[in-house]
Amino acid sequence: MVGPRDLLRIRDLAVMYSAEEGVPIRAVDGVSLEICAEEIVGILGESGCGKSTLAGALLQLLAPRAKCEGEILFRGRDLLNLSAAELRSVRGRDIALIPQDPALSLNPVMTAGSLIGEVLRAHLPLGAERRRERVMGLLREVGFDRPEEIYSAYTHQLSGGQRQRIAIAQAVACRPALLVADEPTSKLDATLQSEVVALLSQIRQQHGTTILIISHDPALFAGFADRIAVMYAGRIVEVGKSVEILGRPLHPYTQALMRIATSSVATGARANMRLPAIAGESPNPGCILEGCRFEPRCPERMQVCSQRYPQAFLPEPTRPVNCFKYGG
Amino acid sequence: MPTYSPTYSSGGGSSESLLRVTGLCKRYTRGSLWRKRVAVAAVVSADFGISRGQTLALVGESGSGKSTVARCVARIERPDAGQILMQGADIAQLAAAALLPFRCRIQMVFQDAVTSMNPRFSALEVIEEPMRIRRETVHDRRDRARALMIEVGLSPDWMHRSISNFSGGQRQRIALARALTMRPQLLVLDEALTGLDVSTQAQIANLLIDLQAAHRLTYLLISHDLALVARLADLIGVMAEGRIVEAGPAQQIVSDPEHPATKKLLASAKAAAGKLTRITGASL
Repeated sequence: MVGPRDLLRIRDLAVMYSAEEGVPIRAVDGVSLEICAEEIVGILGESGCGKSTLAGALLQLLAPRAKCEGEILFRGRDLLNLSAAELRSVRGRDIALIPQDPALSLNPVMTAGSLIGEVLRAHLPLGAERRRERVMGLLREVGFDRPEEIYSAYTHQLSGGQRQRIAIAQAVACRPALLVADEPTSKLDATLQSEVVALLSQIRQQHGTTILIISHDPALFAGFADRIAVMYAGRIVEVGKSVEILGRPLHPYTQALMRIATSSVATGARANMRLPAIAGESPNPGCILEGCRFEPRCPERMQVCSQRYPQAFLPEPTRPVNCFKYGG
Repeated sequence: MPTYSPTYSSGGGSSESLLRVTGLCKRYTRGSLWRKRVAVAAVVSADFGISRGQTLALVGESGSGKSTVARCVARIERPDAGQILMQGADIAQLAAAALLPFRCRIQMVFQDAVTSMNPRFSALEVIEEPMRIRRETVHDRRDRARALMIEVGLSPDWMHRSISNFSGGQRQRIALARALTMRPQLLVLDEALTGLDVSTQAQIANLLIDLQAAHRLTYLLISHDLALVARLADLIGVMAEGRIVEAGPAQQIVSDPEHPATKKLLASAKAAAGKLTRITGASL
C-alpha cells in the first residue's frame, strides 16, 4: 500500500482541541500529504494555521486535550496507534524535532554535552567514553570548531545561533530518518538563518535525512525545499514543487503571500511605500466557515466560494489546488 | 574607527529637530558571585538626530548596541554619558519626576507585545492603563480607547476580550494603540515587526505608515532586517560594536554601502532575496 519511496504518508489528519465550552477547535482539518525518503518538504503558513499542531501530531507531542483522527503512516506503521513505549522508541530515534525556540527547549541546568548525550543514552547502548566521542563529533558536525569548549557550556552562556545548533545536534544525534523542524530560524537574524538552512541541507546530503520544515517565510524555502505545501486555517490549499509554488503560485492566498514576499525583498524601494498586504485576519479556528476559508480575504471570490469547501482541482497534472478558480 | 555626526536635514517638508543624541554611552557590568565584575560597553558612542515626522532606523546584528540606544532614548535605561536632547531639553540624566512629561512624548513598542502586557487584562484595560495612571476620567479613557482601537484596525466590540485571545499582529496593534493614548511625538519601535508573519508584518508596516501621516509621528525604528527597514525609513544608521559606523539617507545606505558592517547586512538581505528572485523572476 505504501510506495517504496514513501517515508511518511499523512491521510485525512484532523487534530481537535476540546474547548472548555462549545464545539472543539479543529486546528488541523483533513490534511493529506506524502513525503518521500530524502525529500525536503516545506509547510508554508501563517501563525494559527495549524502548522505547528501538524508537527506536534507527527511526534505525538500534543497537549492531552488534543485528539487526532486519520492516519499518520511512518514506514507503514500508523503513529496514531502506537503505545506510549513504542512512541518513545520512535521519537528522537526515527523522527526528531528541531523546536522553534531552543531557549525554551534546552534544560538550563544541563551542559550542552550532557543535553546531546542524553538523547544518545536514551536510544543507543554506548559506553560513556564512546558517547562522549559521538557528542564531540556531533558538535563538530553542526559547526563548532572547538567542541571541547561548547561541551561543558550551559545554554545561558551560548548565543541564540549556538543554542539552535545544540538543538540540531540533539535532533540528529541518533540519525533519525525524519527531521521535523518547526520554524527553526524565526528567532534568528538573517545571517544565522542562512547558516541554519545550509546546515540542514548538509545533513540531508550526508545522511539522507528527510526533512519536514515549517515556516511562515517563503524566502526560507527558496533553493532549499524540494516541495512546498501551503496551509491556511487548518487545511492544505496548494501543494507543488518548490520552484512552482514560489515562482508561479496558483492559489489566491499563495499569490498574495508571494506578492508581499517579493516586494519586501526589493531592497532599495522607496521609503514610506505601502506594502501589498492581505486585508483582514485568518479566521478564528473556533468558528470555521463552511466554504473556502480564505474567501473573506480573497480578491477573486465568487458566489460558490462561501457555499462549500473547494476540493482539490488539478489545473496542471502535478499541482492540486483547492480553489474554485480551477474548476467547480 | 571614524564615527559619524550626521548633519543632514530631512528629505522634504519640515526640518524641525525633535531628537538629538550626542556622545551616548552605556556600559553594563557582567559577572557573577564568583567572578570579578567587568564593565561591557553596549554603546561606546552614538550620535544622531531625527527631525519631526521622520523615521530613523538603527540596524545592526544582535549585540551591536541598537536596542540599548533605544532603551536609553526611551529612558528605560540611564546612559553613562552623553546628551539626549528632546526638543532642546536634555533628558539623559533626568530623575523620575522630572522625566514624567517626557514619558508621554516618547513611547516605546517592543518586539514581543504580549510580554509587555498584563495577561489578565482585557484589550481595553491594556490600552487605557497609561490614562488611568494619569488619572483621566473613565469616560475620557473609554472614548479615547475606542477611537484608537478603530484607528489601529481593531473592532471596539473586542475591547473586553482578554489579551490572550488576540493574535500576534492584533497584540502589536493593541501595543500601538496604548502608545498613542499619550499623544506621543516620538515612537521608539524596538524590533516591533520582528517575529511576525510575512503577511502580518506587511499589515503592521502599512499601519505604521498611516499612523505616522495622521499624527505627524517621528519613529526611531530598531531592526536587524535591512530589507524591511529600507521600506520604512528616511534615514538609516548602521550599528556595529556599540557605534554608529555609517549613516545616511535610506536610499544611499542600501544602494551605496561603505562600511563592511553595512555591506554584510546588505549581503545577507540580498542573499535571501536573491534565492527568491531567481525563482520568481522579480527584479530588485
